Amino acid sequence: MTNLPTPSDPSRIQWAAEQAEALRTEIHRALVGQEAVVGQVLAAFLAGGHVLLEGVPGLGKTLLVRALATTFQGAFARIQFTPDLMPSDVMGHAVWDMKSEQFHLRKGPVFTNLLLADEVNRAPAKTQAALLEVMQEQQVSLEGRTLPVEAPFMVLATQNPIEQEGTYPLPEAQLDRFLLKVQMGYPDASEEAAMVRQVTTDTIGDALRVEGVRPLMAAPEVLELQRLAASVRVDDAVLDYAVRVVRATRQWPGIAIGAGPRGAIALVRVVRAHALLEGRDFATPDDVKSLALPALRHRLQRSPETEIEGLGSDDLLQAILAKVPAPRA
Amino acid sequence: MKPGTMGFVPRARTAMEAVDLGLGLLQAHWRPVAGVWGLQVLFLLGLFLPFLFRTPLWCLLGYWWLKPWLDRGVLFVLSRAVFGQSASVWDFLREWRAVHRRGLAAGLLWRRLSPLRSYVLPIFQLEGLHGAGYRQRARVLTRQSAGAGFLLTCSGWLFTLMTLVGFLALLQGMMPPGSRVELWSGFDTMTLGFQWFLTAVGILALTLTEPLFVAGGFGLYLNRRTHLEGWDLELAFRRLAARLSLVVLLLLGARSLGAQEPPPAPDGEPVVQAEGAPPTPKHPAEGPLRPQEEAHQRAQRILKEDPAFRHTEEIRVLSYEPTGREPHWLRSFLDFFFAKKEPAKPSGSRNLDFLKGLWDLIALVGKVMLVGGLLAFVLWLIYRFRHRLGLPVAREPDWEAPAAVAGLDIRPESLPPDVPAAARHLFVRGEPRAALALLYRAALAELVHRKGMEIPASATEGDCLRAAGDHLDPGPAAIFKTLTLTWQRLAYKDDLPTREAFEGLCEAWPAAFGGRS
Repeated sequence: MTNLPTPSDPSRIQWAAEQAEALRTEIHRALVGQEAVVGQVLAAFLAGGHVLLEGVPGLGKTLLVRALATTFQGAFARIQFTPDLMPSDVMGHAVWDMKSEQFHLRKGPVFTNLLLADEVNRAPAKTQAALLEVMQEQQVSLEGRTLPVEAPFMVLATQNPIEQEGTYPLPEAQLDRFLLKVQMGYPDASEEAAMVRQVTTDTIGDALRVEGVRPLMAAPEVLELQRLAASVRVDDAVLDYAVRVVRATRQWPGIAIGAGPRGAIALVRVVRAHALLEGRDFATPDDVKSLALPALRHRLQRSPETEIEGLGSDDLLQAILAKVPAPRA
Repeated sequence: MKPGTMGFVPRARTAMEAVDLGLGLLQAHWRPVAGVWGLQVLFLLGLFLPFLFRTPLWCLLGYWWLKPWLDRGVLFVLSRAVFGQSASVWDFLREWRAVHRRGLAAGLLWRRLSPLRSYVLPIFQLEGLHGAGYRQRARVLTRQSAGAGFLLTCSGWLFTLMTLVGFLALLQGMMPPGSRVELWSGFDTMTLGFQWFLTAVGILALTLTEPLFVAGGFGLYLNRRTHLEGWDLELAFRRLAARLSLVVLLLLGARSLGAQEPPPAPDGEPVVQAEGAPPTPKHPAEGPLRPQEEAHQRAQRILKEDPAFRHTEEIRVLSYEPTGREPHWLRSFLDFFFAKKEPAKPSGSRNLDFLKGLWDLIALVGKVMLVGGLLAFVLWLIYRFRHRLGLPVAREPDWEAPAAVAGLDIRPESLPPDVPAAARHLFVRGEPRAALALLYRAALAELVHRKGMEIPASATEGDCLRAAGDHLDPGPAAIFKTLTLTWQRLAYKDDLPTREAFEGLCEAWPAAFGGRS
């Protein structure tokens, strides 16, 4: 455990960068490769946002979340979303105690620090809405009582891009609640070989192994990191660049509905965290450019022509980034 | 037919308009059509039921096969409607024999599956033609609108099918779930009552579509006759005549009507013109052909005597005369293109000469294309692999060096001759931001204009740094990285570099970015 730096400590950014790097290293003890994904998830973690992870099964999404939970000694809960999952299964409910002859609140798995909502698109809309409400409000209303969810609180929801049969796709308004939509692809050959070696050596069964991951910090330190991320300086030019990129999505041909102001807010939030992860206390246009895709790809609605042409949101965003002039400070 | 008494406006219509005309007639006279049709259907059912009561499918099949017989009633009503008369069921019964007198057997047997059935029906029913006369007339009438008639028949089939399937789908949709009767399971498995029910549905579908089909074909027939016999012109002239004097009427009648209208047939129907017959010679005095030799001699005589065939023309062509001093390969190459051809032997057949000349031309074009294609391929290979051949590489023509990158002016003319000196001067003067901006944009200008680095206007500092890594050696690349990071700290954090750091950059700048120092 590391002593918390005081706000006046000139080396606090240095401390934050070291902590972030240590987090990254620890996560990679369990998860081989996926550098960009880990970076983006950490950026969202420091920005206090939630992440929608999309990837085919077997890429290590759950492993990533468990490793992240282990690094900061946080409480971790996992909900496997199914079509018969009820909101009370997520939030909790009141049970009748025969002895005391009173109702007692039984908190649901949402009262945790890190929540893995596995295959979030398999649950019906009301259960999704219940979860997304907690994500937005960071509190749960049960039996007339408002119960805050303990900070830090982060939801990592996963969904499978294939097997859409019998799923309930998240509506655009609810997708907007996620700070980032991270796409997890297949690892390259060397990473995959290293992963297979690591997972199969001295292992019985196919249980996920996170024993090698050491806890690095407690919740207060995470909160301090989040405060530092929020204080990273964003120059007017960088802010203007981020806003111009977001606004360009609203007039871009091929996009039916562009990102709203929440998109620009999310982009700048995560840009601050990314700068901190890079060891800087100021953001640059490069931070905006590198995070525009995960921050905006789920906030666009493509036009039918674009969908027919097979162009994805990433293609459109890359075209926008190639056209929007970079700022001058 | 007298155009003045018609129940429609004759004018030259397109095929679609013609079909629409027929449907309009049907719409205007649907009551007598329905009456006549219903009478015929009752007659048919009365005929079928005693024999085919146990086999409704055969009844439906018979109904379908006898449609040409039913069509005659529809056509009877429509043909009266053309003259503005409304035929009744009673009229139809009175004319029963005349309606069915001609071509009924042919219509039900070998012309049953004709793709132009409704189009040619008026020829044998109304014009009373059969045999060779019918064929000749049908050829004339269908010469320009056969495609439309065929499309009409196809549309009729499709429409009937759609109506039938639509009815069946409606029935299937109204069946309660788990119903014992499945419409698509097969006719044999159904009860007799249900079979009759379905047969009635089939008859209904055929009844709904067939009159439309007949009316469309009749519209095409009327339009074709309007084209051929100028009914619209005749009508116009009649109106004109009504307004002019009797003399003019006689003149016009003699000069135009008399020339246009074919002589009427004894029974009042127009006479079929023998369009397929060979044309009569315009100059009967020419007589039969002379013997071939005589004709040839006559042609030769004309060629020699007539000055019109003594026209001379000078034609200049590009040719090659070998001097004997050129190298062998050059001579072969030039021979390939310019070698004189041996004069062609006189041939008895001009057609064959022409074909041979055409073939030679095609061969020459083929040779030129082959050689040209090979040359083009070699040139493309050289261009494609110009990097490996060490040839100078020009920038892509559509790429223009931007005037500004990340808001910084990087045009060479905007830079001072000695960049580090100018930057130092600015720094001393208390403008460290301008000094560092000058160093950075001058470095970018060098990369863009001297190193050929392509930097779009949307490039950020990081993009420039990554691109510079590919164009610079490690030493200059490291200096550019330091310069970029220093610039970023200043630009986005207002973090001024120390004098030592700035001086270090100024000293390293000439070595890294050469040109201007």
